[in-house]
Amino acid sequence: MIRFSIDASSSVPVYQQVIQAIKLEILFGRLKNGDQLPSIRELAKLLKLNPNTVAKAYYTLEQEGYIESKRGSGNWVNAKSLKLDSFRRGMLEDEFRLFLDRAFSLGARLEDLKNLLERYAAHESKRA
Amino acid sequence: MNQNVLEVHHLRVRFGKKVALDDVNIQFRKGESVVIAGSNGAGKSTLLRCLAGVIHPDKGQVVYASDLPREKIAFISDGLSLFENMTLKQGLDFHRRTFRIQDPDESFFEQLKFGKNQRIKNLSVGERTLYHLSMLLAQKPAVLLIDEIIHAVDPYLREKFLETVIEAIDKYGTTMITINHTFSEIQNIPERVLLMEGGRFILDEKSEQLKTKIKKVALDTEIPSEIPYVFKKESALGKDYFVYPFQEDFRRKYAYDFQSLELGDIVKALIGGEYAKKRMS
Amino acid sequence: MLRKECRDILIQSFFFAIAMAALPAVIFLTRLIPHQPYIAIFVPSFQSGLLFWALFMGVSLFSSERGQKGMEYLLSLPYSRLKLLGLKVLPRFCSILFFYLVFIAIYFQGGRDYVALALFSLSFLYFVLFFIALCFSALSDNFLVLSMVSLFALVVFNEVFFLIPWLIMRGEGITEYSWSEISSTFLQLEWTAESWLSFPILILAALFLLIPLGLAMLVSFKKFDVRPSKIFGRRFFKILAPLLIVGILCAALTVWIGIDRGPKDFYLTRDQKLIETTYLYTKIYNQDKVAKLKTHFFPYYNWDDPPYLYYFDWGNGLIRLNTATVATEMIYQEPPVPRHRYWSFSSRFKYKNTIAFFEPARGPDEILLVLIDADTKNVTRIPFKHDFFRGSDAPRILDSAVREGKRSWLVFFHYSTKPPLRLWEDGHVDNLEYKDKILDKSSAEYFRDMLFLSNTGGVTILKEKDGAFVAVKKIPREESPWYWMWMWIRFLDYGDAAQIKESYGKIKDRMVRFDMETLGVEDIGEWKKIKDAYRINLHFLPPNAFYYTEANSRERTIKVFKLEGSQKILLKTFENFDVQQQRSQFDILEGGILLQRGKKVQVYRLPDFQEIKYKKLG
Repeated sequence: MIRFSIDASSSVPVYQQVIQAIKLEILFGRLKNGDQLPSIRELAKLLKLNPNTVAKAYYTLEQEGYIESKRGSGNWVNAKSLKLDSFRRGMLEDEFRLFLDRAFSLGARLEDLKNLLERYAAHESKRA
Repeated sequence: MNQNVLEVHHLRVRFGKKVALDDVNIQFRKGESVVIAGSNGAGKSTLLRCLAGVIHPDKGQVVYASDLPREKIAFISDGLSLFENMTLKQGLDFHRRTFRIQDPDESFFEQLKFGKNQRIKNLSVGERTLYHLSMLLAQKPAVLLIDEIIHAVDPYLREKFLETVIEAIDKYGTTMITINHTFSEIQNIPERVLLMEGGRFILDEKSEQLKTKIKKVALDTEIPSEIPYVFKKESALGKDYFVYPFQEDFRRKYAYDFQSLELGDIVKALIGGEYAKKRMS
Repeated sequence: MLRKECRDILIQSFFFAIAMAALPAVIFLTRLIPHQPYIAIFVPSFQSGLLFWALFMGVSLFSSERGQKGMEYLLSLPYSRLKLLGLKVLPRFCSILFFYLVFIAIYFQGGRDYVALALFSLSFLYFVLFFIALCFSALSDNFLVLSMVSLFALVVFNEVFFLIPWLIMRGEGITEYSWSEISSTFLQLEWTAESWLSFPILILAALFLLIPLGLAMLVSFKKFDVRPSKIFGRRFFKILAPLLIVGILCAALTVWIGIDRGPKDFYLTRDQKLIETTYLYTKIYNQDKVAKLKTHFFPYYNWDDPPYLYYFDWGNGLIRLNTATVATEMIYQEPPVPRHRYWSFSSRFKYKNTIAFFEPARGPDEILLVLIDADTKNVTRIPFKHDFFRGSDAPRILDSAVREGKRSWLVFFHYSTKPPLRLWEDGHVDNLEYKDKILDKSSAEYFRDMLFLSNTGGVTILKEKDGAFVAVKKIPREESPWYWMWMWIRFLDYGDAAQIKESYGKIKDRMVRFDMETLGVEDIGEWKKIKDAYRINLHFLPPNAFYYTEANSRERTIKVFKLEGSQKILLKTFENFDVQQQRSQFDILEGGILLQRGKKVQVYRLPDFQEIKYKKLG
């Protein structure tokens, strides 16, 4: 069910990447509330990670309110919708900023971007 | 509060006139995964052997935690030294008895599907490596010392071994100290990187931190003098600079594309830097 | 680990045992060496096999790890270095011990007749070689190199071991020893009560030479690791060198103390030279001088004829030592003797200047009387032929006299029923009969023209009359005294029997006097014996003085009495002397009184009991 890989060369720490990936899985609905996450050992073996790394990711996810750890039985998805919403917003903003950087490095100006957005919105409403 | 499982104080080892270890001091915590890298002859194997008790240092000492019995230390080196005339079963039994393993974990050995009655000397290098590793894993080791052996093993079994080690780390809290040249598979396992050169440690960083401290930048011109780099690679395509220590300031000041590196490339650059230093002096 | 080692050693030992049994069997069965029983081939071959085994067990300590590339694995095992060493040495030592005990069993079950090496030498070499090979076993990977080094070290050890007493002797000014003589002297030492000090001295000296080796091995092995053997070797020899020097010094000190404190025998010559003998040196003290020479003999001197001392060196001959010049010369060389005929000097006789004894002749009923002139050293041999000589030992010479212008000798066959014979210098033999048959085997003495025969019945005194011996007196056994004859027979060589008017002896705990004229035995008082059976407290000094000593252990005194007629006259009391103490001796000799307490000795002149001091006596 979980499908993601770790970028070893990324400057983002590995445990962060794991956290990120699990949050995305939950966001995209591939992980639903009540689903059991793979054990630390299993995930570590699968991704060839240090179990401590996975443990740290799970711990942080629990702290942030995305999963719940039940003693003896493992980790379960229990995401608060409020959390998910703020995560979605956060992801959107990150993506948007990334797009802006890219656009600006191509030479676009804010005006160009506004026009682009309006044209796109019109196109979409025509289709709907 | 993580206790130190191994401590090394002022270790000094000489081979005749050559100094292999020069006043080395280091501590290892329980459950840590460490990789030791460095150029050939830097002293890595010697250090590992000292930790295993195979070499007694000329000066200094290796101190084991009070709850670490010698039976819980597992060591394998590229010599793959074993009693060759024994059969596989005899070897396992001997190892089990000598290391006083109460209920050995022979799951890895079972996976290998070797004939128990053939002699150790008749195994290929790769098979011998795996057999030796299975002996060590049966120990449920507290400390696992591995010296550059994984390259002779085929990729499928290499992955199997890695998974077993990960399991051991999780199950037994094994402290793993390996010497590696190839990093491709194990990139994400070591939490700490030690670089040795000339019998000393020249680097001791957490791998995550190291990744933030080294960046690569490709330039056509010379790099500005205020940006420190540890290694420069010139080719027909231009110059690659490996910046260390990297500061986020550089990204603001210069519009260069500072790329992050994976652990293998980081180590390669650092070793390359050492070679460059040697050539210049 | 121990299990593995024991299994390996067991297998090796098994093969060794097979080889040891099989090789001589092959030689025996193929009659390669004919006419020898199996054991005669087995024992010497087993002895050399043992030495090989000792070498092999020592040198092969790490050979299985070296051969199987298991050295690094071995060192990674959770044992300390010393425990590792112990686990390896123990089963090997057990194997060594086992085969040694097998050898001992075979030795005492008849093997001792066939050994090529003496038991002590073999045992010594066996264990020393094993130990040396062990100590060198970690120095190299090469089995051959290790074997060569170990054997070489064994040879060096032997050389050094026997070089030490040789050097000490040289230092003392005794230069006549070759050191191979020293080694044979040491190795042939009898393990008797007298030489009890010598055996532990040997062992201790050997230990001082070997312990440095063991210590060097232990200390350097503690740091043994996979580094090249050169590094281990350097450390090993760095520790060994100073320890070995200390060890050699200690061994030298031990040997020197052993010689110094060892058993010493003293003899006082008739011209008052004091001779001190240890098993390695002999010193002759003469007033304020001392001369040193190597020991050839222990002080049983057959004749003390100043300045000469005569003694028999078995296997060599009759030797004369000049105590003034300290020169020895061989007076007569022992001839090669056929096994069935026993040649002996036991019929001693030196009368004035002639030494006389018997040698076997060619015929079974022949014998040769050898006469040597002590001054000119001329040798005359006179053959005699008589039935009595057949199948018996040489007779003893009882008397030598000149009759009818010819020299004659009265001889007697010791402990036999044969009557004496008279031998004449022209070669003919007179039969002398017993008038009355003497049925018991007797021993005989002859003086003042009387033949004294002692046997289980008692003593019969006979006189010669017309070619036969007639009994003139019979003393029954219960009335026969002890000691009355033997103690002064020796000194007859220098004296004259005619001057002796009486003799003294004991019957039970009474002192008795035998009168040479009346042949009567008279009780003259109490006899106080000394506890030790072999110490006899009657002494005779030529020409006719008898002394008797009484020792009192409680008061630690010795009283010296002169015996004259029926009188005991107290001459002197010596204080602070306990004759029961080990190695204490009180002797009255012609030269004087010799008092020995342990290794300290004092000499007193007779008859005034003045102490004679020897300046160089320590």
